[in-house]
Amino acid sequence: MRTEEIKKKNETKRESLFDAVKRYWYLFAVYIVMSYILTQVLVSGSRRIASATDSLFAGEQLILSDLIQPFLVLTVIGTLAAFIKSIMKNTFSINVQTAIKNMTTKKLVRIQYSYFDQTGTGAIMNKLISDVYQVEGLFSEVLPEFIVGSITILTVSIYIVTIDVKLFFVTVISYPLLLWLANILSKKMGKLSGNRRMLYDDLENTALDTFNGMTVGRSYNLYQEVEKRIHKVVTGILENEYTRTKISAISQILGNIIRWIPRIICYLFALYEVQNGSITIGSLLAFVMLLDQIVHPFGEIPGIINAIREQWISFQRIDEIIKQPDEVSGTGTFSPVQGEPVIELSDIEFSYDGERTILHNLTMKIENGKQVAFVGTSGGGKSTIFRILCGFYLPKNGTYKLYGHAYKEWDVKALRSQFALVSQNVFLFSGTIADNIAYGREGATKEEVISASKNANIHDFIMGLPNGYETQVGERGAKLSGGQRQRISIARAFLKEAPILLLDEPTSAVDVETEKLIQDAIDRISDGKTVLTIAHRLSTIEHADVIFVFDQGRIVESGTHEKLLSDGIVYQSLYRKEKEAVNVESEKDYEVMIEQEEQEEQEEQEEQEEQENQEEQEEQEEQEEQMTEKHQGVTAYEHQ
Amino acid sequence: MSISDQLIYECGKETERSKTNGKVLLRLLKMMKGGFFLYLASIIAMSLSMSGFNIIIAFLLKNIIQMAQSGSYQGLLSMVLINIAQGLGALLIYAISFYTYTIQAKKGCANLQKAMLNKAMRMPFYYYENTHSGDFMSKLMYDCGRTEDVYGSRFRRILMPCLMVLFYLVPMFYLSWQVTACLVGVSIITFIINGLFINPMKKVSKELSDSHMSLTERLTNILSGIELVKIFNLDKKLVDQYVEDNERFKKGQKRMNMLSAGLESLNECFNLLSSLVFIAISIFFVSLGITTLDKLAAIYLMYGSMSWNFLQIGIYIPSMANCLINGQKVLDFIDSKEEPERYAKVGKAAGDGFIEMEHVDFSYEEGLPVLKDFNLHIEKGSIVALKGESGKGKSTIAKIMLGFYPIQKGNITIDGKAFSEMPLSVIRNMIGYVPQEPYLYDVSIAENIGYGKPGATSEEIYEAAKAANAHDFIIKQEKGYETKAGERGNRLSGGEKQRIAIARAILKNAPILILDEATSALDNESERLVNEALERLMAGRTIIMIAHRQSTLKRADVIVEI
Repeated sequence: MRTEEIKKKNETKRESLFDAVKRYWYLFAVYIVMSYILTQVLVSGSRRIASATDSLFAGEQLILSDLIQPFLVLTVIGTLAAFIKSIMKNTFSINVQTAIKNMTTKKLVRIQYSYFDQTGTGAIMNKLISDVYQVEGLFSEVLPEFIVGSITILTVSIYIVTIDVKLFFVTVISYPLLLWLANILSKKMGKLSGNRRMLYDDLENTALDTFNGMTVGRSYNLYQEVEKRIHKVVTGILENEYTRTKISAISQILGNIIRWIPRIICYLFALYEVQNGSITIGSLLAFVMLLDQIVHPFGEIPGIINAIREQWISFQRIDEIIKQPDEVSGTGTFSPVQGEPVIELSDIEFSYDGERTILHNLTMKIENGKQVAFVGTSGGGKSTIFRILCGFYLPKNGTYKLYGHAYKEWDVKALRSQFALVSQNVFLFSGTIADNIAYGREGATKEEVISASKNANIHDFIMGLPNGYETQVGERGAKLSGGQRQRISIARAFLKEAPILLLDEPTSAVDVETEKLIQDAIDRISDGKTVLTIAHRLSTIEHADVIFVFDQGRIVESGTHEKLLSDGIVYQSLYRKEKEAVNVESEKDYEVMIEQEEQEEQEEQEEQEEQENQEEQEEQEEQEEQMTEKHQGVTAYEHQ
Repeated sequence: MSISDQLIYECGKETERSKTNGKVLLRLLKMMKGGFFLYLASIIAMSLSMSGFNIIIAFLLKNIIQMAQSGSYQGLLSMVLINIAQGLGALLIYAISFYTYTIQAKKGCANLQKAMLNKAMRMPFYYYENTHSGDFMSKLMYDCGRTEDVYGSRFRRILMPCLMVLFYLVPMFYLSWQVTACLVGVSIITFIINGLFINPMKKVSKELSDSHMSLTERLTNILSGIELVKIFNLDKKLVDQYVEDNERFKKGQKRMNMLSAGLESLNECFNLLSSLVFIAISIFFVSLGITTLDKLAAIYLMYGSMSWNFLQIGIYIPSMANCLINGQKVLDFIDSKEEPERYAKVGKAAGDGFIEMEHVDFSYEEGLPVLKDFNLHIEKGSIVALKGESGKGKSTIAKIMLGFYPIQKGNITIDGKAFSEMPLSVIRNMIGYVPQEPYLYDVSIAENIGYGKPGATSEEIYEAAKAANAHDFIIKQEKGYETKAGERGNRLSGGEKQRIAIARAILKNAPILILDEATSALDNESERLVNEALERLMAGRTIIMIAHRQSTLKRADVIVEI
C-alpha cells in the first residue's frame, strides 16, 4: 500500500516543461494586451486617414494641426505600448528559459543512472545547450511573432468588416487556401529537421572525440583520418541542407504568392466596390494601408509555423529529459541491527539490455564489519553488483536488502550515504583540490579536509603544489597521476565516513610505490567498516573474511582464501594463472611464497572442519531464508 | 586614472572593437573563398527581385486608385495580366537566387566547422591537458553556432535591406520627391538611434557569452561525474552552483532586455510617426495639389517595405555585432598557435644508441622541474623499463618522446637523427604507443583498429585483431567489426578495449613501442590475453615500458629508475 501511495504521489508530481511556461503566463498575457493596443493604434490611425481623405474629396478645407494632433497622441500611446510589450516578452522568455534550465539540471541529478549510459554525454550536452537555445528562440521570437500576427489579423479583420462585409469575405476566403498548402510543406520540414538534429549530435560526438582522443590521435598521426571523419559528418549536414533548402525555397515562393495573389484579388474587388459606390475612396485607401498590415503576418505565418515545428522538436527533446522517470525511492532510513547481515542479496537477476543476463540467481549475505572480496574474470558482473548496491540499477528479479530492509523501503539518498565508493577510474570535478575532497561531506571544514588528506597519504603531495589545496584540477584530473587522483578520492571517502566501503580495483592503475601508499590509506579507512573489494589480483585479498568467486554472472565458489585454495576449482585456476603472470619475483620471493602456501595449506586443513560446520549452518540459513522469502513473496502478492 | 581618461580609454577600446569587428567579418567572408562571389551575387539578385516584386505591386495599386478616382476602367485586364507575369518572373529569380545563396551560406558554415575541428586537433598538447572539454564544446557549440549565423542570416539581413532600400528609393523619388525626402529623413534618424544602442548591447553580450561558458562547465561536472554526484549526495550542492550561475546569466539577460526594449519602442515610435503623421501631412499636400492620391498610395506601399527594411538594418547591426564577438573567439581559436611541425632547439646527442636523451631538462610549469639533467640510452631492439614513483615523470618521458611537449634543454636523438631534424609526424610514425587508458573513438571497431595504418585493408585489420587476441570477441559483437565502439566505450570491457588498442599498435608496425602501464586494471584471464597480445606486439621492436608491476620489470633488459 505504502509504495503504491508513493507511486501515485510521484505521478501527480511528474513535471513537465509546461510548468515553467505556466508559472509566467501573466507576463505573456500583458504582452498580448500590449500587442492589441498597438494594433488598435494603427487601426484608429487608418480610420482617421480614411475620413480625412473622404473630406478632402468632398471638397472640405483641411487644417494641418487638426490632422496631426490625434496622430501624435496615438504615436505616444503606441511607443509606450511597444516598450511594455517588449519588456514583457523578454522577461517572459528569460524567466521561462532560466526555469527550464534549472528544471532540467535539477532533473538531471534525479534521473535513473541507466539514462546516462544509454543516451551518452554528447547527446545530453547537446540537448542542454543547443536545444535550450532553440527553445529560447521559441519563447522570445517565434511564438510572440505568431501571437502578434494573429492579433493583428484579428483586429484588422474586424475593422474591414465595419468598412464592407463583402470585402472582408473576399479577403478571408482568398488567404486560407494557400496557408493550408504552406502548412503541409512545413510538416515535411519538421521531419527533415529531426534528422538534422541527429546530424548535429554526430558533429558533437566527433568534436568530443577529436578533443578527448588527442593522445592517440597524435601518436598515430591521425590528422587525415580525423579530417576525413570531420569532412564526412560536415558533408552529411550539408547534403541534408540541400534538400532542406529546396523545400524552404519553395516555401518562400509560396509565402510570397500568399501575399500577392490574394492582394490582387482584394485590390480589384475593392475597386469594384468603389465603382458600385459601396465604399469611398478614403475607405479604399484605409483598406490598402491595413491590408498591408495583415498581409505581412499572413506571409510570415508559414515561416513561423516552420520555425515553431523545428523548435518544438527541441522543446520535446528537453521535455524528454524532464519526463524521464525519477529514481525509485522509498522514504525510510534505517540503522544496522546487531547480529543481522548488513547486506543481503537473494536470487538477484540482472541485465542491462534485457537480453544478455549479467547476473544469475545471485545470493549472498554480508555480515557487519567483514572484509569481503569479489574475484573472477572481467565481465563476470562484479562491478554490476556495486552498481546495484548503490542503487544505480535495479535488479530484474530478486531482492536486495540493506540492514534487513528491502531496497524499495529505503530513501535512496539515505541508502547511498551508507556507502563510500573508491573505483579505478577517478573523476575529479573541475574546481580546486580542496573542493574535490570537501565534496565528501557537506559542510566539511578546512581542518577536516586536511585531516582526511593526511589519512589518505595525499596531504604532503598537495602541500608541495604551488597553490596547495587551492590548486585547480583539470578535467579528469589531467595534471595529476592515477595514484594521486586515487588518493584524493580516498580522502573524499574518508570525509564521508560511510559504514560500508566499496573498493573497485582501487590499486589497479598505479605503480608499486604508490600502491603501498594507497593500500596504507585503504587499510586506515577500512578500519571498523564493512568492506567489499573487487580485486583483480588475488594477493591483495588473501586476508578477506569471505571471497566470492564469479564466473559468467554466477557465484561459483565462496569461502576464505585457504578454503578456496583447497577445494575451489575456479579459484585454484585463477590463482595458478596469477602465479604464472607474477612469475617474476626473484626466486627467493618464490620460495617464500611456496613456504607461505604450505603454511596456508596446513592452516586450511585445520580450518576445514570448522568450515564444514559453517557450511552446514549456511545451508540451514539459506533454507530459512528461502522460507521467509516465500512468505514475503506471498504477502507481497496479497498486497498487490 | 580620472573619469575622463577612463572615458577616452573606453572610447578608444570601442573604436578598436568596431575595427576588429570589421576585420572579423572580412575574414569570415574571405573564408568562403570562391563561393563568396556567388554568395554576394545571389544576395544582390535576391534584393533586386524582392524589391522589384514589391514595386510591381505598388504600381498596380497606383493604377487601380487612378482608375477609381477617374472612374474609367479601360485596359484593366491587360494591366493586371502584365503585372502578374512580371511578378511571377521576379519570384522565380528570387527562388533561384535564394537557393544559391543558402547553399553557399551552408558551405561557409561547413568550412567554418571544418576549420574549427581541424584546428582542434592541431593545438599544442598542453591545451588539451589544461582545457576543460566543456569549455571547448561551449566554444564549438555556442560560438561557432553564432558565427555560422553570420553566413546563414546576419550578413544577408544587413546587406539585403540596404540594397532594397536603394532599389525602393528610385521609384519613390520619381513619384514624389517631397514626400519621399521627408520619409527618408525619419528613417535616417531611426537608423542613428539604433546605432547608439550597438555598443552597450555588445558589452552585455560578451558578459553573457562568458557566463554561458561557466554554466556549461557546471553542467559537464554534473554529467561526467554523475556516479559521484549520486553516491556523495552532491546533487543539491552542484545544482545550487548551477542555479546560482544561471541566475547571474539571467541578470545579464535582463540588462539586455532593458536595452532591447528601449530600442524596440523607439523603433516603433518612428514607425508610427512615419506611417501616421506623414500620411496625414501628405494628405494635406494632396489638398494643396503638390501630389496626387494614387502616387501617395504607391509611395506608402513602397515606404512600408522600405522602412521595414531600414529597421531591419537597425535591428540586425547590433545582432551582427554580437555574432562577430563570437566570431572573433572562433577566429582567435583558429589563429592560435598550432603545434609546430618540428621542435627547433633540440640538438644531436653524442651517444650512439638507437634512442639517446642527453642532459634533458623539462618542466610543465616554470619553476617546477619534472626532469633535470636526464639521460637515457637505449640500444636497438632492447626493452627498457622506466620505474619510479608516480608523478616523478615516467609518463612525461613518453610525452616527450612522442613530441607532445618540447624540452627546455638537452639533446634527443633517434636512430642517429636529432629530434629537430625530423618533423614530429615522422617521429611519431616511428613510435607505436599504447596508452594507459586505451581510447576508442566513436566509430566502428574496424576503423578504430584501422587508424593504426592509413589505408589498411580489411584483411590487415583482421590479422592485427587476431594477433592482439581481439578477433574472437569482436566477431561475437552484434555487428562484428562494424560495431561502434560507443560512448565512453561502455560496451567493451577494459581488457577488450586494451586489445583493440594493441591491435591498432600492431597494425602500425612501428620500430619503437611505448607502453604506458598497459597491463594494469585487468583480471587474470584478460591479463593473460593482453599479455599474449603484447608479446606479439613487442617482438622485434625497441621498447620503452612505463612499468609499475614487478612482472613488467622482469621482461626488461634495462631498468631505469627515475
